[in-house]
Amino acid sequence: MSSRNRIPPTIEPFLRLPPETALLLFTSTLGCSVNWATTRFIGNLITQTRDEEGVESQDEAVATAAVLLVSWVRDGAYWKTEVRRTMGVDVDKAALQGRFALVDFLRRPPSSLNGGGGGSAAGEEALLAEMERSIVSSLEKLRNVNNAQKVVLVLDNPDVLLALNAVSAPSLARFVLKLRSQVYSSAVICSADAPLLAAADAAPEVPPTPIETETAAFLVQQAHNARFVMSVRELDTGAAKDVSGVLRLTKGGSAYSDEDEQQRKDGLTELEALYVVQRDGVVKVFGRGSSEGA
Amino acid sequence: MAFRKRNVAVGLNQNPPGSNSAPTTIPSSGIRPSSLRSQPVTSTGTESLDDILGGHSGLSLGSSLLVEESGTTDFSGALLRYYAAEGILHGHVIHLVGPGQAWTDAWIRELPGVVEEKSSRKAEPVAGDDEKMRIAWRYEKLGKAGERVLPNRSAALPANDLRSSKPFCHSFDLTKRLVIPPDAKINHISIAPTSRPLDSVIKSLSRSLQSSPAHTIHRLVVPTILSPALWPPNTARPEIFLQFLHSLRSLLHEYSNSFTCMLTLPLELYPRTSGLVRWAEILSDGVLELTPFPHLMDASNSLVESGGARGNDEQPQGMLKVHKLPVNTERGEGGAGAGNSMGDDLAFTVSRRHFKIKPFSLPPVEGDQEAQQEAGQITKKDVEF
Repeated sequence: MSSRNRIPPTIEPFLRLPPETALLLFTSTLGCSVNWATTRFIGNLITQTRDEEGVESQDEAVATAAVLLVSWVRDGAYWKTEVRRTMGVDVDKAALQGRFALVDFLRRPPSSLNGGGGGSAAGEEALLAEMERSIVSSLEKLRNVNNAQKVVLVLDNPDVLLALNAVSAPSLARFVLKLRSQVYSSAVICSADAPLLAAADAAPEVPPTPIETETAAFLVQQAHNARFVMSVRELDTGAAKDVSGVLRLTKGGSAYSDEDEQQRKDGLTELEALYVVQRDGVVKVFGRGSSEGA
Repeated sequence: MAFRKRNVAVGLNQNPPGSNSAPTTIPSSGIRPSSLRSQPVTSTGTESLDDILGGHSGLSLGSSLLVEESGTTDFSGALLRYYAAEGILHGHVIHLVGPGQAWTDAWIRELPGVVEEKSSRKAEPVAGDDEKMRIAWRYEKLGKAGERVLPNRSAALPANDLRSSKPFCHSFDLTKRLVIPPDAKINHISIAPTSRPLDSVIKSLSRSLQSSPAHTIHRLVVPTILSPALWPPNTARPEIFLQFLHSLRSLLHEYSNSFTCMLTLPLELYPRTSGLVRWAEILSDGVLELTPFPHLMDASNSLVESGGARGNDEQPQGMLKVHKLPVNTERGEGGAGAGNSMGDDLAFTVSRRHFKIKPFSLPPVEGDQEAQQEAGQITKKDVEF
């Protein structure tokens, strides 16, 4: 089974190598995880370079691409199983070929994170500097293998740092921007539950707590910087037995309007659809009202 | 697929060396493979809770379960006690977090005892088993491929019959007290009101996990976290509480074959709409919410007396909502897929003998004789759309 068939055709254009400096934002909610899309994104990037057929439809992605995954809430074993399960790609093999690297901040947290420096300016700076060092050293290892390849940075839930009160939203955004400047393009995965966004409301009902303000600020800023936002959420009417959730693809704040024509040609159109993740890992995306798998 | 050596009589050798894919999990009591994947699961001590955890028929090792409860009742405490008692019966290491040794001692002493009369109940299914052809039992209960509803496997699941006489999940009696065996491994972790009260928990846990042999199963029990009655006030600060959950998640991933934990969280002071609780939920693997009914429904009690359709049924004491399931939600399945209980209307009933979770349905309107008679025959399952 080629990697093509594992990705629903509707969303396939979004999971290709993003153009230079672009940012993709993936958001999930508590009951609806977006990981099925991110593992496909990662697997797609790793295989497209290897797959000769993949090249023809993608003029720009002829040069090989590599993925640098930085994970704060999931560990390497999780990503390894899920990428293999959903895409049939062995990330260990890709890692040996210099096409994949993982910085696991869950199992090996930065020493300044648990030290209790949380909140203070000095602690924040030390933490960000330490994380940047580990990420940059992994990046250099990837570059050493193949300097020409385009490295895509995937940040998995960096917003947990805000929840841990380890950094403030502006510093985290600066940190992300700094990392983005060193790679070809990047993707950020965030949690976008209603309580975490309530503070961005014009007139919140209850005064927001600092943690809510910070997450809302970071998330909104990333959405403004993103080229595309892929968000999944629960059905408004509650869970259903044949629908996993609602998928929404919208342009982010930094999508240029003059690119519209080209994007339409590439199949990058805004859409809202339903999706179902089956137990065997197969995903189907379908419109409201149409039958499953149509 | 030759998963069994040829020329060996099936059933003679229950545990052939070399052919077992997960030899490390076999020696531990109270562990069996999930019916959906190879990851082992353990029992929460409540059979109906095991059944709603996404079709794995147990709590996957390496996951945490956060049980939230609104109101002033302590139904979640019952679930927590069953979970701890089940662990003690299987010889798992119990890590109990509490404000002091005296408090945790008292908590352990109050654990419910096992329901007796088990011998008579068990005799029947065992007899039935011998007649059945012995196909691998984990496939046997899967039903047809692609089936939407998982068959009820509680009857067809004698996971214990091959290896030990201990059942996978015991029934407990809240009025009895569990006799703690002298060799029970209980690690009391006391919370000191320091500036970082939860650091000691993580330290003690990782020390114990590191030093124990590979087959030992650990259970972490955290009663009513954040409740100001037991915990120092600064526990609720995000950098302490969420940091603790983040470190705990790291430990759970590291020891994903030997460690589970269950936490209960009262929602009265920390509602689910707050960012703090939402982050706690994101950092946990499974999230359940109990919403007890404000008072036992008087109307339905009178219905029982009048011989309504639910006369021999126990009245539900509250609603149970599943917000997140271990493993399945991370994979993005949501409510889809057999056995995923998210979005179901579930109700729970606690009685002396059991904690039962079942689909909730409203009783028929009093006085509607026709409907009451029919209600006995038509259940929700029978209605096809």
